[in-house]
Amino acid sequence: MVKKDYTLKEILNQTKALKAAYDDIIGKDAGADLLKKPFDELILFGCGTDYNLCQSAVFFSKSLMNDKSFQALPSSELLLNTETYINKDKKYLLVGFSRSGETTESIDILKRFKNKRNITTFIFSARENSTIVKLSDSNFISEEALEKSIAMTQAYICFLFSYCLILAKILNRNDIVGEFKDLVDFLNLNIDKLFTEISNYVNTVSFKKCFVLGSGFNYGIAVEADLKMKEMAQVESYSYHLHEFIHGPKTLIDDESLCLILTLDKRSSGSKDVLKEILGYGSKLLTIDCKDLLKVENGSIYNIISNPGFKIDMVKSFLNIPVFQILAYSKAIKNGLNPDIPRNLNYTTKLNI
Amino acid sequence: MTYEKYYTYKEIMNQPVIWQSVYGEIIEKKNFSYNTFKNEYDEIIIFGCGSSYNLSQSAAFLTRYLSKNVTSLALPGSELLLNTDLYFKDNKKYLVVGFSRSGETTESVDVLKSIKGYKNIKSYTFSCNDGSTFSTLADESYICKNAVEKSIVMTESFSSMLFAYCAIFAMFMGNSDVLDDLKKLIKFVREKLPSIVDYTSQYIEKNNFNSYFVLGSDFNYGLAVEADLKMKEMSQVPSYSYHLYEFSHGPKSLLNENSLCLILTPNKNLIKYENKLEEYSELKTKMLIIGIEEIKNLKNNQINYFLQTESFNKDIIKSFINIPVFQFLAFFKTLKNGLNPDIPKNLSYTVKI
Repeated sequence: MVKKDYTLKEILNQTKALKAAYDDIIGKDAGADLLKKPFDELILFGCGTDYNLCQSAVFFSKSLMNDKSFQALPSSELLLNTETYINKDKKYLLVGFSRSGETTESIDILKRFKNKRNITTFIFSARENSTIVKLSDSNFISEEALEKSIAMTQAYICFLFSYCLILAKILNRNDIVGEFKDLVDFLNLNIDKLFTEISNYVNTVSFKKCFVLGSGFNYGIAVEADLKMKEMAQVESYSYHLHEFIHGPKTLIDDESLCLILTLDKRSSGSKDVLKEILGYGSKLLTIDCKDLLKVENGSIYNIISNPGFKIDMVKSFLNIPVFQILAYSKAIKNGLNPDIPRNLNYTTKLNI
Repeated sequence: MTYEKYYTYKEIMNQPVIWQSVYGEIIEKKNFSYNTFKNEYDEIIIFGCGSSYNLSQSAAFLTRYLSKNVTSLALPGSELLLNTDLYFKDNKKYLVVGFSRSGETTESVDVLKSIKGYKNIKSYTFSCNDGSTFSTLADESYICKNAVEKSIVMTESFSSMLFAYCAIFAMFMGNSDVLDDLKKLIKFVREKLPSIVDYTSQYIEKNNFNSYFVLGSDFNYGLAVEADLKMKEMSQVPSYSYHLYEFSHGPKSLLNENSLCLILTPNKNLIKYENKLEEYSELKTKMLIIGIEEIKNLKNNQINYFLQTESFNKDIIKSFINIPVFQFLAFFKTLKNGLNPDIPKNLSYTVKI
């Protein structure tokens, strides 16, 4: 009999993995050489879930550094268009993410740029002896994030957390470093309660399609949330920037939809109107820490987590991650599927390219 | 059967006429201004909402592909507006290029208002309405006068604004290959349109599908997102878009025998993409591949090839032939589903917040 609990264990274990990463980075100075060599442009790359986290990581980088250019790319796009993205007169820092360290396109990028004078590489992986790690100039290994499940959960949050924490530490952003410590403590205290609350929610509502909306740092998280729902629960899922949703994609929304609204931040002006419009189409609305935004009594709205006390929006955004992971897991169980065995997928994608 | 009663049909059919008029104005008569492009910039930021954001993604790739020195970035209007401090730094020079069919979309107009007066930011806009707020606020603008649509769903304005940007940027860069190809493109699409109508209507008639995946890399990625949006808006079919190789890293989980995979013109830079297509076809999906000769090992009754051509120097311009194909696939699927393509669900002509 196939076990159904790897994914669940890994979702619940993420607090341990985050604590281990925090201790390595803050206590042992792991990853301290991330920005060691000068560069003009930082390109973050990965495949699938790893690419999704790059989209948040690039926003975080841009928020902290003024004088560089930044780009997030799927590994395949970087590999196929090296002449477009790499200019011999500029210096690059390429930061790649790969759980297994054996994903073909990501490995091929490192092979292609090995020993190029204007390119430095830094890799985040869960396997120390992997091909990608051996090819990199420097790396950060998060062995605690190694998973048995095909769908990435704790490796995803752990890589994103580690990248952001390393950057914040190097750039002396003690305010952010301090909040990351609070984040680990908060999740450690609350993850079991979150699981109970979200699985109860999934059991009481029905939906056939799921829209995940998030802006800025949250956009990459929205894409990952959409992917988890597809992979685990086989639900028709979509992700959009919050305001982009009303420029066309809202055409599919109806009373069989669930809209997951990721944590809104201080920059999210005009959000209230978008949420009201969504409710007007009959969709259910699941919000994370925005209980006060819509002060209307409506049975279609449910809020998870209230006033967790984070001042920095991008740190608060990490709260979305266990929420959407548990949501997808619970929906898969409700649909009679085994989240450990997503349809059509393998642990590592290897290509003959 | 006549489809002339639908605005959407007439507007799709009218595209080569508009392209010719844009080509004549920009390339032949040089009856427009583009002095803004002649300054030195560190970064070109291209923005829009909905379809205009989709075309921005293709335009950003073209910019980077042709210029090499300048970084280019595509952003939804809302993201740029909410994060101006992040995307504009005092120590860099920016060209901001915006697209808006009506020229009155709130977020896009507000982006221009928010950057007005900054010495390090210049703006150039593309619209279809002369005298719109958008073009009035910009430093310079180009108006695709004849591309004003009656339909809510953007078709000819999408392709015409993208065509105009490619023509202006190629002219600025002195790239005669691209300019030659644009001329060939007009002739090619004008001649092929009747057969595109016949082929796509028959294809939709004969093939049933209830999920739709559009795959395209580099310049084609923005087109893939637009193809996905057209299918959603017009026909209400669950639709998704991905980079060609990224699709195998998770999203293919939803692929099954009731899916249609539309493969946008594969470019010459793709490495062994035949293996990828084979991997997707093993999941029993129908597949329609545009612009290439039949692949030896990829033939069965689920796979079709359409619009094979070797007429173009540059893959980027060849990519435009995808546009009428995906527009008509969406149009005919809509009719088959008993819906009116001129009246998409939940949508209005211009989004004002």
